[in-house]
Amino acid sequence: MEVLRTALKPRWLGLFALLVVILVSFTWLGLWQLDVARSKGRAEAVAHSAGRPVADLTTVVRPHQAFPDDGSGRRVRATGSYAADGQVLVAPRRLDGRTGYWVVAPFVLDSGGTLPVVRGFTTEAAAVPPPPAGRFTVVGSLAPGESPADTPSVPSGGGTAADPVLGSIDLSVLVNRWHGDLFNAFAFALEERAAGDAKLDPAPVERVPPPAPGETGLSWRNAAYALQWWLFAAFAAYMWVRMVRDDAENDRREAAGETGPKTDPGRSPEKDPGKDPEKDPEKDPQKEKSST
Amino acid sequence: MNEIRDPQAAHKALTFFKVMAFTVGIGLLVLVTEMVLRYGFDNHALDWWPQPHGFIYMVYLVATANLGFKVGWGLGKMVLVMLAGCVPFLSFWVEQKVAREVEGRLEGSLAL
Repeated sequence: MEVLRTALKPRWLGLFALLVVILVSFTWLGLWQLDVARSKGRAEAVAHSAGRPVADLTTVVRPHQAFPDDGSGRRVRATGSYAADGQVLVAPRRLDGRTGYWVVAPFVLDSGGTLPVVRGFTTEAAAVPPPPAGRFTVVGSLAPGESPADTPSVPSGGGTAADPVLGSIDLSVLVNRWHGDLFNAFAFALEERAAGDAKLDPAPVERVPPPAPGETGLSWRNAAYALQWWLFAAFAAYMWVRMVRDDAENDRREAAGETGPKTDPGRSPEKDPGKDPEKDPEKDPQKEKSST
Repeated sequence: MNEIRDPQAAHKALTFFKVMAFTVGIGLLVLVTEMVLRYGFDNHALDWWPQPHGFIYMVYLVATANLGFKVGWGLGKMVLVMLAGCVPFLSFWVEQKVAREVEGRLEGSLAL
C-alpha cells in the first residue's frame, strides 16, 4: 500500500509515462527486428535455392528413393511426356484468395520413372483440359510428397469434375493409380518447353507458384536483436519498480526515524548526531534559513 | 547524496561494475573494429560480434543499476553512466571515476 502511495507521486507518475513510451517503442522495435529476422531468413533461403543451378531430376532423386534432405525448393529439369490418362485434381487449394484445384498430371521421364507435376490451378473442375501430348522438358520446383488428406478423395460438387479429386498429393495413393516407378517427390511446374515436335496448348491452366522456402528460416542474429529490445524494455520496467520501492523504503525509514528509534545496526552510528559531526552543521543552518 | 546503507553489498556491486565496465569497454573497441572492417574494408570477419556485445552491454546496465541503487545514485547519474558504456574509451574513464568516488565513500562509512 505504501509502495502504491509512493508510486502516485508526480515524479514517479511522470517516469511511469516515460516507461510506457519505452515499453511500447521497444516492444515495437523488437517485433520489427523479428520481422526482419523472418524476411532475412526467407530471403537467404530463397537466394540459397535460387543460387543453385537447375539440376537434372535424376541427379537429385531417383524413383523409389527417399526424398533428399536439401531437395525442397530445388529446381529440377526432366524430359519426357505426360501420361494421357491419370490426371487428378487436388482440393481444396487456395491461390490469391480463391479456392480451387491443383491440376496434377503424371509425367513419365524418358529415362523411366513417373513424377507428379502440379501443372497449375483452376477454379473450374469441369473445364480442365487433359495434359498436352508429346515430349516436353519440364522445369519445376521439387517438393516432398504431402501427408494423407483428412478427407481422401473429395467428390467435388456432385461429380462434375472430369478428373478424380484427391485431398492431397499423397504419393501412396498415386502409386496405386499410376503406372511405372513413382518418384518420392512432386514438382511445381515452372516451365514446360516442347522437346521436338510437340505442340503445347497455350496456358491451359494458371501456374501455381512454388511455396517460398524457409518459412521456418530465421536470421538468428536479428532474432537476438529482437530479444535484446524486449530485455531492455523489461530492464526499464525493473528500474522503475526498483526506484519506487527504494523511495517507499526511504519514506518508511524517515517516518520510522522521526517517530522512534528504528534499530538498524548498520546505520545507527550515522543516525546518532553525536558521532556525525558533518551532518548536524549542515542541517542546522538550513533549518535556520527556512525559519527566517 | 544518501549514505551507503550496506557497505559490504556496495563493495561487491562496485567489483561487479568494474568488471563489466572493463568488459564492455573492450567489447566496444571490438565493435568499432568490426564496423571499420565491415564498412571500410567490406571485411565480414567480425560480423558475429554485435549480437553477443548487446547481451554484454545489458549485463553492464544491470551492474550499473545494481551499484547505483546500493550507493544511492539518482536516475540521471545512472543513465549517464549507462550511456557512457556506448562511447569508446569513455567507459574506462567513467569506471575509474566511479570507482574512486564509491571507494572514497566506502572508506568513510567502513571506518566508522
